Amino acid sequence: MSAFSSLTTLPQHMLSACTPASKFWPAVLVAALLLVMSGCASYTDTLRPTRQSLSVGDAESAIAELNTRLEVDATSELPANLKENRALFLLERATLLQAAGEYEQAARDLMHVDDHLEWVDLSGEGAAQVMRFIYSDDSGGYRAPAHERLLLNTQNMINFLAAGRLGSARVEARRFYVLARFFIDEGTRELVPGILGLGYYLSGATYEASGEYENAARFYARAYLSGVWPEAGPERLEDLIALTGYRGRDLQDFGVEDDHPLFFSARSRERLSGAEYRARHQQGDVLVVVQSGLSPYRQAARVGMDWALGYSQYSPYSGVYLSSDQRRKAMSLHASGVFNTLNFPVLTTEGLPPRRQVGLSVDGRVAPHSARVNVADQVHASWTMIGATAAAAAISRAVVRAVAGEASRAATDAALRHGGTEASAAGALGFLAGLAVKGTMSALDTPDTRSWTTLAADIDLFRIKLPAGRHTIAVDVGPHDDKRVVDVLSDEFVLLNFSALR
Amino acid sequence: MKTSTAFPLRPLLLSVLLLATLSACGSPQYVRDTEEPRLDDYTMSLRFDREDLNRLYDDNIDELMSSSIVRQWDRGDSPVVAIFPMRNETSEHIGQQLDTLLSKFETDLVNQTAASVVSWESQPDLLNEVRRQQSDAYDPTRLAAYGRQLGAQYFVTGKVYDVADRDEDERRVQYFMFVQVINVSTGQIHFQNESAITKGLIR
Repeated sequence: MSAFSSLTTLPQHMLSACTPASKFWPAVLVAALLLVMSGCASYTDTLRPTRQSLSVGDAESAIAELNTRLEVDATSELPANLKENRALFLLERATLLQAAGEYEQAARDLMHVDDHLEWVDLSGEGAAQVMRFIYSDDSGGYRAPAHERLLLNTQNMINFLAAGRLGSARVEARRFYVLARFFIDEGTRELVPGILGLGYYLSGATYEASGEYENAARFYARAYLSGVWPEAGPERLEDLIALTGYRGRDLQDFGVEDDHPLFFSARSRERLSGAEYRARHQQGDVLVVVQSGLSPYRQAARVGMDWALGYSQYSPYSGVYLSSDQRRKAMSLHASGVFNTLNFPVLTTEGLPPRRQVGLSVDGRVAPHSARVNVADQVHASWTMIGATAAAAAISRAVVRAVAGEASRAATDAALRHGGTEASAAGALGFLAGLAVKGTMSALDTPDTRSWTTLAADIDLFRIKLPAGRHTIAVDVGPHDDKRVVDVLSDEFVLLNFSALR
Repeated sequence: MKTSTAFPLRPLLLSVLLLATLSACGSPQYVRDTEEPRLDDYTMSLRFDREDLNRLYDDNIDELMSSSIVRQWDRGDSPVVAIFPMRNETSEHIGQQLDTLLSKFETDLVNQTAASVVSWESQPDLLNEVRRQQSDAYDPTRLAAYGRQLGAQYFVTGKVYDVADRDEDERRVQYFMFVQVINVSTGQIHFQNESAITKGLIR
């Protein structure tokens, strides 16, 4: 017997277990309660003022808004706990503090969240969690998808590198790699190659600045193979390989063999000394990070059943929730007009600034090379994997709902046909109960619109080499521009972060 | 058959009241260790807490105080010894806890040995240099330079590594700590002791 056919027996059990009048009142009350609760503002609605402030460059108001949500008086304070979405509010505040150049406070917020944030793996058993993740009520703990979880440590590496705290940046690099290993399966890596590449690149820069060249080679090689490489050629990496003798034997997940051109050319070179490497690559070494735009965010929407049925097939894990029997039944119910729409979270860019090209100039001269990490596309890809599975789950629940509603209506019709006052009353209650069953389950399907909404849409990296002295670094992002003056003294690594240009 | 249409409201109301009362009881409150004697027993994170620091201290201090190098200090001219930051090679932000541990060692070295202990923390320039380039703390040439600046002959320092694992919602961190006494001019390690601690988040 299929799962679907067993579900059709639910109303009969209910009828036999209870008297007609008493059995549905709790359901009616629960439905009413849930419908009232569903009137509360979603996460997306709550964050709207913050996003609007950020869109017009008013970071101060955006941070003040978040402090109110966190129930704290100032950015120097951490919330008493991370319940009721405070983990996410803290993530948002950290992003804004980073944009304002408050790296220490931003790092503190991210470290606090890092200790408490759980996440959803998109593969294997993780698919089974998606239902709880998407359709848990909003007061449940937030579970971050892979791209957000990986970006947390990546963003904190930026904070620590910008603050010149190499030791703490190395801790974040290690935390990033532990998670990258966790998410490294084929499916997930394909979804977030740029975000992994960004984390690898910043880890490489961290270890290189720390004088740990073997680790630098390992991470730079991963960044290079991920396509995140802001320099014209791979000379920096080839020199690291020549310096350390690194052979890339840990790069099996990239399919690297001994004859890979990167290692082949490095093998033919003379061994490099540390001093030579420092002179060649670490004198006046500056990495500029430019975070622009805003990533898409989730919004509750009524979507057509046709769309939902098609969309659910994008995920290889949709079968966990929607068997072929259920899919057939869903199509049949849809064709008969029983249900046409689904309440569902979708990604939107509504109200967000347009994506723009980023330019960098140093003392008036344009920097020729950069690497762009398209975060927005990876948010889309990551969400499609989760959302498609969630769509399957939602359809499965809608089928159950429709069947339960139909069964209740059948009970009502039977009672009315039986005639008499009591029978009419029971029939009316049955009708209400049918609505209640549908309403309750519909309310439980309140889409969870929580996500890290202040994430940049694009992160551009520029690696430049400057002679000793004072330099002006200018960034332009469409109509916005910003400039900093930097003193280059020696072989001290400098990271400049520009992320107020939304 | 007669059916009752009266819904049992009283139990529902009582349940709601009970839940409201329970939720009020669950509000957080601050306590001190005299009010909650087991407060220090709870593990609140994967980082080091006082219990962990006490364990690590106990694991190391006896070995250090009875080591041949400390006995040598007590027998001869009292050398100048500097406490140098431990290198954190773990995936946890435990720098401050390691500084606390070193301060405990410092206290015992001052009070129980013939060594003259100098503090690098009192020299802002050196402090900045150490913080900026902490990763090079084990570069012997740099150690010698720091030592000359402080007039120190020995450094007491160390490093901590970890093996971190995650499996779904569970986490485990195995810490390995090495406490060292290093001769500033030669880079020779005169004392080294290893201790281990494992912390986890299990469901």
